Amino acid sequence: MEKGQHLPSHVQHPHADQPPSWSRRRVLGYSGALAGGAALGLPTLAACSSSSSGSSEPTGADAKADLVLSSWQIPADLVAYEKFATDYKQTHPNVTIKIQETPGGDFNQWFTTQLAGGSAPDIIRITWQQIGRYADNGGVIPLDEYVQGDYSADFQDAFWKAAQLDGSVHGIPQHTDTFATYYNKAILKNAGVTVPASLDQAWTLAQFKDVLVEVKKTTGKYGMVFGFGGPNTAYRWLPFLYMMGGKLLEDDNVTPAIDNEIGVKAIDWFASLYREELIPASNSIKGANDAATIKSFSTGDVGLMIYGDWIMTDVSKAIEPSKWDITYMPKDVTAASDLGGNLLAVSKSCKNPAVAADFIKFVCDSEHMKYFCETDLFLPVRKSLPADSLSFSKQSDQMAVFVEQATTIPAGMGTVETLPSFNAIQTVLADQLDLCFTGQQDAVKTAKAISDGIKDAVS
Amino acid sequence: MTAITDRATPLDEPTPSTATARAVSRKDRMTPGRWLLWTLLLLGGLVMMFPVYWVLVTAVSPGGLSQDNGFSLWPRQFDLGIFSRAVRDQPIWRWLANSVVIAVVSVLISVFISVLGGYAFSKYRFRGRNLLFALMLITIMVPIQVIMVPAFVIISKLGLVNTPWAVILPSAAQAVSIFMARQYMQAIPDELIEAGRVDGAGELAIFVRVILPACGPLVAVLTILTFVWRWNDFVWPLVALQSPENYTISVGLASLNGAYSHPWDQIMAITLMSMVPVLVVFFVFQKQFVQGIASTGIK
Amino acid sequence: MPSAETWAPATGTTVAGPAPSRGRSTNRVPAAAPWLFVTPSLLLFGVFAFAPIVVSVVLSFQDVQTFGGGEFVGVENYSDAMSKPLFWESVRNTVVFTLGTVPTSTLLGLLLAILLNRRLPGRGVIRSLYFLPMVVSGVAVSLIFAWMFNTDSGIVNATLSELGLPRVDWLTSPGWAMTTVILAVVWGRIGFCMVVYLAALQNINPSVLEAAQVDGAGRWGAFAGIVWPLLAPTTYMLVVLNIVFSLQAFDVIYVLTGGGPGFSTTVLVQYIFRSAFTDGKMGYASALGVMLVVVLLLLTALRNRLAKNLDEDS
Repeated sequence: MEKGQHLPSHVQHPHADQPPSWSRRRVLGYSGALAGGAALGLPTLAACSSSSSGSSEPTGADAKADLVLSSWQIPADLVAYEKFATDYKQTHPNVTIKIQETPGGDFNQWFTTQLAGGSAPDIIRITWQQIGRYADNGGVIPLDEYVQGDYSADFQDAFWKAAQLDGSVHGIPQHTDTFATYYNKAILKNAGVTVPASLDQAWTLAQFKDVLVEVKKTTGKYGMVFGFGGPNTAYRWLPFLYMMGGKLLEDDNVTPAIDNEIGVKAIDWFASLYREELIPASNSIKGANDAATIKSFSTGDVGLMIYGDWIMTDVSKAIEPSKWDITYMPKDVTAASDLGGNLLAVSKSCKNPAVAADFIKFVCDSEHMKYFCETDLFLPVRKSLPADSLSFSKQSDQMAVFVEQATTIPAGMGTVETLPSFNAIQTVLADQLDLCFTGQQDAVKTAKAISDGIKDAVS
Repeated sequence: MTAITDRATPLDEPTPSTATARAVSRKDRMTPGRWLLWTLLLLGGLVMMFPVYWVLVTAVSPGGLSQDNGFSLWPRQFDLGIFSRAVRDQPIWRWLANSVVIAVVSVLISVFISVLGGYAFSKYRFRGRNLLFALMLITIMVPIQVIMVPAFVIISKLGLVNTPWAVILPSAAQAVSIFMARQYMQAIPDELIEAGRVDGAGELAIFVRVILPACGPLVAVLTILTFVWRWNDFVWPLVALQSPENYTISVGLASLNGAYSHPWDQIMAITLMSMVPVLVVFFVFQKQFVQGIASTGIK
Repeated sequence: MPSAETWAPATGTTVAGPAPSRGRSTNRVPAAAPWLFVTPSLLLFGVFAFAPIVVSVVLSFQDVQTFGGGEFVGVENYSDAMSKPLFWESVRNTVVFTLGTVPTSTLLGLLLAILLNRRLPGRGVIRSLYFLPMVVSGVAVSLIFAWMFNTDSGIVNATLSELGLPRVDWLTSPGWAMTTVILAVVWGRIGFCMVVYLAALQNINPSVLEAAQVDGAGRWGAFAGIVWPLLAPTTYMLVVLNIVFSLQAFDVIYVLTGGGPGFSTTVLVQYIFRSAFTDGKMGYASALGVMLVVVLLLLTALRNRLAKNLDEDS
């Protein structure tokens, strides 16, 4: 099929008029999807043809819409989105996309209030941990009719699965982030510690603790800090549960699976870091704040910091990049790391979901995902963009480590963190783990309390 | 008509004459004991000021104090360029302008309705007066988290979202001001009002010619408090204002403190800059201010 | 036109509207008059204050997500709340917090006002130092206090160390966390109380005070017998407002401690906040809000009843 040719008119696909830069691969992809979909009698296709008679929203070059996209206020990201909006306007001259900032403070408070008033942004950049809940209560709408068939093929399976609720897609993954270990070169050298050379050579938890003890001797204060940042960030502990072979919920996504030997072991190992003063007491879940955490690292109070790629810029401002580097997360039975990153979703308040979905697909396509990740230092979620295909604008060596580490994000953890009830589950985690890490409750009681609390939360 | 003295005096006290009271008695001399007291007060004041001083230090230290370790009350390095950088990176003037507009209009509306309402509650007896007043007090007691969503839905239905009115109108319904106005006006002698009626003046005329001239201190008090509160308010405005160009300065500050980026030095620099207008208002109204609150507390 | 100095003091009580008991009343006060003055407030309050409260009360009887429809569940939200340990813990913390902040800031404000009422050099500047905290925005306050009181790197502990005193786990021990939070809030509140009292003091005639002291009452006697009673209405207003502000304190505490360590600084409004937005249970959160208001109203009614009894006794 030649570029720009219309699809047979008896199948009104929302993407009948594609911009000239439409690649051959996508053409085949869509038409193949249509054929395949028709053969399998997929409900999405039925929805598509019914919407062909009902909805007359054009999404091609003559689409007309005024949309708002809201993103976190990371200055570089806002610039990137502005660029995308301008580029999109080249081929869709009547579509204006305004880029707005999601205000600081509690996301849920802001977003649910906006939704209640019908003035939520049309396109919202949202985290994995929050999308489940808004998918469930209708805050973000299903996008199935816009992402049919082969569209998902290039997305890494774990992420595409996590973007669905009951088989229905509610957001398109734009990028991921993960945790890794920042280390202070001088301190580790003085402590006589060498960092793992590859992912399989990552420290085991036992080795990691030894490292922390040595580092503590060198700094005279503590060994490490961890990326907690308040009550909403307790979930960042979960990789330690999963790397020990444990899990938070059984496969039915309802029954707690933490009140057992592995669960207790995972909780206790982390709590021992506080007990043995390898990590500052102020770095507990509820009391932590980013500034203090980064400051501990930049002033040399600690030698290691387990945190995400997104704070590399802040860290570079606080301590010169030549003085620190990144290595892998510790591992145990298996490797695991934090599920970070964002999806782009369409909110209930959107009056023109077809165009909104189209713009989202534009931003999340290979070319733009690559640009976004390279410029703003994020991790891609497409199979066609492996680590070595990217050349990051800066800190490329460090980003390469993060890209590799991102392959260890446990799929099961991803499923749990995208459940609608995850906010409530997370609160339980925050409450109980904080009690444990501040020494007010032992690991056995904590595991049981988490289990009970989860049962309460999902009922 | 003779205006009453510009400080409403309690009914049961002889009217003091400040001139005589201010005659310097031996009480006003600075004794060694007084100097000690003065020093303690000053030190206490400096301790109170210290966190604000720390805001300044964080603002002007390069990297926002992240480099600093160890005990140091004075920044080792200065980076005054932070102020110009903050102005360059954020729409500070826009934010300040929005804050001024919202605060001034809020003050105007709030003072207007509070003075009117306070008069009604204090000087008239009418059916449902106490119930109505109690209802207004209830509005102070309800936490904003509870009414935030219904209030926002109402604002949306009125089509006011993302406009300054979304912030001005709900905050103008400020029962604290009406409470204070009522307390203040209870001290105004009723006989003056009666006298006005005897003279055949209409209710509105009485209000304008008898009551208002006595309310200078009250107006000053309400102005300062409303201005300070509106200026620093950010919980509601954060939700009601959506585009960065409509933000007030405190919303802008709160929004900078995001989940994924924390430009601490900018946040502190902007905090300092935002304090200036409020301090100016305080200094300007200060003299009246002190006198005004006096009358609100005394029945 | 009579002036303030010529009215006869014996007329006494407030007269509002027509006074039939006085017999000859040639002054007709139009019944509509008070309503004219109150209507602007009513309009504004009606739409922006009363309406949301009514909605909240209705929601408190429903099981409803933060937006979208809900189902009627009667008093289940209320009974649920009272059966949850976290509810009672947050109530307890709130009471402790209020007891810690209200008397402290009120009395300190009073003390400062009295001391700064005398003629001292630069007293205007010193007063401003104590008032300044009220002017700083909430975001900055929380952040600064979090840094200053950081156990390891905060300036407060660094100063204590320099002075040879033991370091304190300000924000990391359950016991001290509440104290630190109280400190942060009192810091901002003192200026407000001070200014209110300063103004009230201006209306007290110094010669009356002097006379009392010459009579042998002494400084303390003059204060207790004259100043304190005269300040009673101001104290009443300040205490009421301070209690209300303390019961609603949330942002500063949340940024400082997140409600931790554990639950030691989780106050009722934080519990309401997380029920409404983190758990998405708007109906439940509304019920909590209603309970808070009811308790406050009961306290106010109780206080008024007591005050009336005291008045009747005296």
